[in-house]
Amino acid sequence: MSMKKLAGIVKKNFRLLMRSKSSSLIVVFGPLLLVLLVGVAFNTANVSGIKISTYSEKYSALTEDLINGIKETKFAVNKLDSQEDCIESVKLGTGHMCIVFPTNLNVQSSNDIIFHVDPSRVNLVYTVKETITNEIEGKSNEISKQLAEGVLGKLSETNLEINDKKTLITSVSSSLRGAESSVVKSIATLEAVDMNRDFDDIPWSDLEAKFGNDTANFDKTYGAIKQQVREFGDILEQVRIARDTANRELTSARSIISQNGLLVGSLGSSLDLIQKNINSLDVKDADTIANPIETQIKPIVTEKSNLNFLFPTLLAMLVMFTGLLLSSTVMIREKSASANFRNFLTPTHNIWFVLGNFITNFLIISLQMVVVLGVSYYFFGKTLLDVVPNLLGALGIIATMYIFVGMFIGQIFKSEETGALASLSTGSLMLFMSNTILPLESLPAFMVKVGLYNPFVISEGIIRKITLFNSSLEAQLTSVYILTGILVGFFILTYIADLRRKN
Amino acid sequence: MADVIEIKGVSKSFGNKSVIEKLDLAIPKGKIVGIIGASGSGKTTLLKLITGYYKPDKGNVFYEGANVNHNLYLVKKNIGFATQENSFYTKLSIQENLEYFGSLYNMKSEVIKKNIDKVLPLLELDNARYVIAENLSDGMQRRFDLACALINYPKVLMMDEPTEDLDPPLRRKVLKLIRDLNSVGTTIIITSHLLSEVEDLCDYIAVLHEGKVVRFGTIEQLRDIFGEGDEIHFVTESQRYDAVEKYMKSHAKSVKIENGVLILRAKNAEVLLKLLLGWAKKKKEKVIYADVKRPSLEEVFEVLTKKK
Repeated sequence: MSMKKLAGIVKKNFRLLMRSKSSSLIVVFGPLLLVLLVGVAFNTANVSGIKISTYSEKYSALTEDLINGIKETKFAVNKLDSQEDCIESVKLGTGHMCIVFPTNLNVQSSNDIIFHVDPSRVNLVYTVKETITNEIEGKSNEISKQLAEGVLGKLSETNLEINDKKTLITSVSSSLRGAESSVVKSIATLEAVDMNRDFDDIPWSDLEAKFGNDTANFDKTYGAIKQQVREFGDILEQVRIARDTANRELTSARSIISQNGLLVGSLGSSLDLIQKNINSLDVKDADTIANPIETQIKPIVTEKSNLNFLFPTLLAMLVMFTGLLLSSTVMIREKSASANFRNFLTPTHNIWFVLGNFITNFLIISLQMVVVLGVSYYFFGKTLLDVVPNLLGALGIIATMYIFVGMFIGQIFKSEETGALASLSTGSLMLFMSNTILPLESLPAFMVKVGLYNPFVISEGIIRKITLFNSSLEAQLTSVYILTGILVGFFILTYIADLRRKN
Repeated sequence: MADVIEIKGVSKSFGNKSVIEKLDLAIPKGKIVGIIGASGSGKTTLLKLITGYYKPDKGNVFYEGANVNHNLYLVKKNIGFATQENSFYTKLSIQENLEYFGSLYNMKSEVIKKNIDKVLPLLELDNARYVIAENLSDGMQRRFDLACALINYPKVLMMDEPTEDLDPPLRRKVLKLIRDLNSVGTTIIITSHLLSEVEDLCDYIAVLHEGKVVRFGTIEQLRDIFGEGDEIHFVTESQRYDAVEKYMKSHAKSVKIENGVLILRAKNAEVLLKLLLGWAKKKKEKVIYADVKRPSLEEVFEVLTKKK
């Protein structure tokens, strides 16, 4: 029968919430609207409204290419006449960022591209900077790739040329070896020619004997022959001298041929080595040379915008603000309702009203979660379905905790206004002491310690681990236990506050 | 006659302000008991003490012998309370409110429906059962609050100023309803500042003054104990009362002449009137006007609260 009471209380709460337009708007649709606005604000998928001012003394083709690339990312680009105007546009807010390109930017130029930003607009600056840096990096990579392709092309051509000329070198080497051999043979042949002749060996006595006594003829003949022999001897001497000279020249030529042969051989070896080195290059792809180490980030969800990274935070914020605001409002309304006295008059234990209010809040938050996750499914697809069971479990625990914190706030404060203010302050405090606004590590050590037990930090951590790393609840038992502890603590506090109020 | 509710030595303060002080009261079963008192005399606080909504600082409240604060479930099951400020959800319809409160009494759906069908015609709210409560007129809201108190047909029905803001015909209907409920055995406790109504309706009256019950009893008992007696208005043609004035002073509590009217106060008004008529006959005085007025509850109340 008590379940009937509980159902009656929950049904009544829903009717009251739905019939009160302000409640429905503020409590039920307010947080959804808030999250929608935050989501849209952080969604950088479309940044068409952002204006970029640029300046360069002389726009090169490369600069124009970069600007066109920026335009393609849907940023509006406004070329200004001076660097001062460009910087001034950021100060005046007519431009969100000023980019100063070096004069006639080209591959050889070593000047930097300078960004002028307004650091007070942190989110915008990082969004634009990231997009433009990506664009410029892309262009830079493209140029690196082109350069690498050029170098690789030349290397390939050289390799082919070496291949071509290597046969010529072989042929020259062979010819030189042939020439050397001929020279050696010639030297040997020349050396083999015997030119040592002695005129004393002529058998003059035989010739004298034949002439007998014809001494005159003999002397004449002898003189003629002797003259001829003498002349022949002179000629022979000249031939010998010429042979010796030729021999020396041939020896020298052989030496030169031999040396050239060695040089050609060495040239061939060098070409072989060059070719071997070219062939031994492991990377011959320009893309690989331009980006030797390629990184690839594979998020569990489709990366369309910053919203992906903010999703756990948004979810945690939604549960926190909805839980706190809704439960405190429902509690204060119930407390201040004229019917509260009649509720007391009925034989119904306090616990049923506390539980009834809790269930009402829980169901409304669950409904909101279903809507949010339904919309999120459109963005994240199947990856979200994989984490849904753990996510729902975590959201259930987190929502329960915030509901009891909110109910406790509702028990303490008397009017809806102060209750809402207290809920918002509590939520904001938890938000400020988390990583969402400022890195937790940048706070004083004591605050960091406190922050680690901040329910928002814990709940956001759980949701983040589940959504981004598909972690299970079992893997985060410590965090779950802390949240459960807070939950139980606030349930007890709420119940005690309820009893004290009624007493 | 058993007492359904007993209040013994109950005191209740809010901060430094003492609202109820050592109050003793017993409510007889099956009767209509009126609690009268000036504004701020503690009437509503007393009713809320009976329901257990307030815990007494001192003393105890008993329902059929059971201490209310230790037996809240029993008390809540048997006591209905029609509040001075309406106590229902203004954004729910009459039917939805009654179904909701019925469910809190652990009543079955059929029983709730049956009770709604019985109560609403009695209070002439049958045609408005689907109307959102905040859209009802003030009078309808008063009746609706009474309907909420009756949804479980309580044994004791407490009503805080039940006829306030009601037009005379509707007031008569509510009073009739109270009598009807009482006729079936329901003990009724009502507070009202319309003393004539209380005088007319209640079997017993408790006069509350400065947090205490200064007198409890039937209207006759209150008149007898604290009234200055009946008032006789006597007018003769000559309007000369010198002789009779002296004579009457020994019989009446007070004698005075105002604008030619001889006014006497005495508990034995009938006897005194006979004496006056006999005197007029004897003196041949022509009697123009003679009347006996009984003291009203208002007068009794004034006397009681003045005395205290």
